[in-house]
Amino acid sequence: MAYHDDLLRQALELVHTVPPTQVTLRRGVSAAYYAAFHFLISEATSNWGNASLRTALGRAYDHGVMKTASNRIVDTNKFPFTGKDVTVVKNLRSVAQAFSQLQEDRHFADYDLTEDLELADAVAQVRSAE
Amino acid sequence: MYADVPAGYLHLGHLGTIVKEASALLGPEVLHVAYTIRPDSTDEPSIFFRILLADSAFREETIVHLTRGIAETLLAAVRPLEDWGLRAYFNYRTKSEQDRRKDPDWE
Repeated sequence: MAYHDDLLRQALELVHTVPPTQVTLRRGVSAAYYAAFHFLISEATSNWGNASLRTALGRAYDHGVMKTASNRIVDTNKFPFTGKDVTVVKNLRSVAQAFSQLQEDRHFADYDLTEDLELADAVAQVRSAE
Repeated sequence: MYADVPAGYLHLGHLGTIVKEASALLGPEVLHVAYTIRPDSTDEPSIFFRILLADSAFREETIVHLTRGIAETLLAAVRPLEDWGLRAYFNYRTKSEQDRRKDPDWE
């Protein structure tokens, strides 16, 4: 099983821990973000011909740049995708929005203890990575 | 020289009206929509929506479909990036969770 699949499975196990705690919910969201992060990198680098260097190429991907790129895709002014397949564009924007959201969710989960992470939000966040 | 300030930081009243109108497009499972405008974790101007859901709406097998639909509706109606220069984020809470927390930011 691929690394990102293992991360997603771990994320699901964590948010289903009974009883839920801030540790299980927050670690679950964080794992879900990294599942999405590594999945996108894996998909992108799999297109490179030199298979032995794909993981090294993956190290070049940057969280901030990926988030910025995702938000540009969501912007219909900057990327109207005129004439493109409507379903493909909708799915692309959905993935971009989900990635940007997950990165922000991970930031909250890992760093922001000013308020609790609730179960419904955590489950929605983890499920969005699927 | 003029600073490049997002419209969402300047026209709060108008944005509030737009969000209120957009919220009316959502289904009965959405009990309340609140929002905060502030920088996100990368210091980009952003709008954080807080969506209060009816308890009956929270089912794990459908939560992604529901939340994606809510986000798509608000994104299409408010156009945070296009019209206001704001990245959009969405967080969700059930009514029972809110009743327990009594957090004024969600009411």
